[in-house]
Amino acid sequence: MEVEGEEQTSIWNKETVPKVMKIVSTRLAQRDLISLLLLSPWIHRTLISYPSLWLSIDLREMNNAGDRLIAALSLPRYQHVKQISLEFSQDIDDDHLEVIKSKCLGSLQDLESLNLNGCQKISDKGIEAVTSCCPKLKVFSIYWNVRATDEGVKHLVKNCKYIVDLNFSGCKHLSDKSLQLVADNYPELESLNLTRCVKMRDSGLQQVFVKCSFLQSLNIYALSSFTDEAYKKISVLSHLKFLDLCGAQNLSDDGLSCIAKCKKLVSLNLTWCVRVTDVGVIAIAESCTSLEFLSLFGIVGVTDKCLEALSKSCANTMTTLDVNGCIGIKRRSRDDLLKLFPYLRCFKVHS
Amino acid sequence: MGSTSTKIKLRTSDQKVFEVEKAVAVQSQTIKYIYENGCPDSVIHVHSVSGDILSKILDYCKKHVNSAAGKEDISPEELYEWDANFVKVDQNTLFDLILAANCLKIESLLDLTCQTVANMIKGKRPEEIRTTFNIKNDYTIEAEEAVRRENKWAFDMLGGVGTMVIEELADDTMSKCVTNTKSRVCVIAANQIVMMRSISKLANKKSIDVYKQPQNPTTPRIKESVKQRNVGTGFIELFFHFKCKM
Repeated sequence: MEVEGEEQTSIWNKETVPKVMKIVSTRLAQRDLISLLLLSPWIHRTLISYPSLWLSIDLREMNNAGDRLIAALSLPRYQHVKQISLEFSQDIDDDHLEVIKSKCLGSLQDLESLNLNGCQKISDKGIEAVTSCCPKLKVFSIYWNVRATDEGVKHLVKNCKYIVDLNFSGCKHLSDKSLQLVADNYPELESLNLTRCVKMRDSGLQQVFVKCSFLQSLNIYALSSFTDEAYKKISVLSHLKFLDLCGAQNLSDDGLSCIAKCKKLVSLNLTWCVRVTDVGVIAIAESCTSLEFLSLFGIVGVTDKCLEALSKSCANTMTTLDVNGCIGIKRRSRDDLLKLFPYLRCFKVHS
Repeated sequence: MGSTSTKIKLRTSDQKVFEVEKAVAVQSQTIKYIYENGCPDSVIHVHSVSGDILSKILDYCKKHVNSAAGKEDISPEELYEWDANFVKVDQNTLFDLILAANCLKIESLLDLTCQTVANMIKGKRPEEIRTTFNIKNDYTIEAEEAVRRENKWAFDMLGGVGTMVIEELADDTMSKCVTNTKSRVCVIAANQIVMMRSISKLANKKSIDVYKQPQNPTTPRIKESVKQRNVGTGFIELFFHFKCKM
């Protein structure tokens, strides 16, 4: 009996538990997954033998992020890491990235996604260092980095040839030069976020539209200096699905009518596009028949007419509609809107 | 002939034979594949599953097939409760169910059982996990220390980030979520105006740095940073980062 019990325990510890933990591990957050490694050498050995478990390093919001990243990248199991997030982490600067470049060069060869959102100590130097290690990078995000300049973008386009998703939101020092670099180097670009890149102008944006014809997502939130000159050219982006024009105070009905040519639009944010009237919105309604998300927040020049037009074409798809502050629309209570758009779930986008 | 009461025979590792309705059996992608590509009349061997476990699994599959087909009058909430009770079993059985669901490729059952175990692991320290699952610590002291050291980077000693989704943010909810955390908290809320009031109050009471990047520059005079993101449902997620100086 004694021997049988021991054997059971042995099978439990050496086979059953490691197998089950491996299956469960895909549903665990990083911290819990790594806790499993500490449980027993059998679990450790089993989990380490599955490379697919170790493709992501999550250091979001952690302090001492630079040191932590270097420690993680020196472990053999992360040699093929594909995704690193340092979003809102602290204590990571150019020096850490230089160390990574000199010591952990090999580990970033397969990196496809790098999130440096909110890492405000990183400058062009750090961008050069880290991008020189990851030639396969596809997704690059440095939200709210006020040190990054066009120089940094120069390094990015030199080092990383396969970018499809770029987030420069809040990088207020980037200018049309960066847009030119992006346009010249990333013809396959699918997603671009330029929120609050206040130095950019029409000419830079136009370059991107002409050369990045596969764009599906464009965010030019809070950029009031663009004009119809640029907005009209959005019409060439035939694959565009997501467009955020919040704050586009110069956008006219003319401009919006051109944008309507992007028939595949699913999400359109026109918050505070104060020059827009029924004419522009009806143009959108007649052309973009798969619209699911629309905000007209703060536009006083639209009336019930545009809602009727929208209802004719998008009643089956519209799930989010914000018409708060649209004093020209008389019937905009929750019930009124549900009559026109029976699948509406969300009535407020902007607060 | 395509009759709805086609039966499939399954033989388990302990030689028990089950005759099961086809619709129930093909919940398992493995059985479905074998049935569609092999000879439909012979018995399908499920080598790695015992009679007891298969019996339980067939109960699960039957319940879900019947409820989906409307054969049983059961609401989604009742089905959810049934599932919750289904996994209230001893550990050996639970683990056997996971291994069997994995091998038989029954996705919903695998999700259910794995999530149950995942919930038992979440947030626990290694010692606690060992106790929960009766795991023997076979590490030598040196080996354990080495593994701890090389993975130290993954653990935040100050305690994790708490995330709460609050739609109508009341002032006292706000103070509760800040005081209950050791270090930092991320609050996601839809009501920015109420949030601003709460933050001002708290910033004065406790030494909290509140960072906000204003979309439309508004009232609060404290430095604040908010990352505003549009999400698919239309709610704007406002991330607030609080650094509690303890």
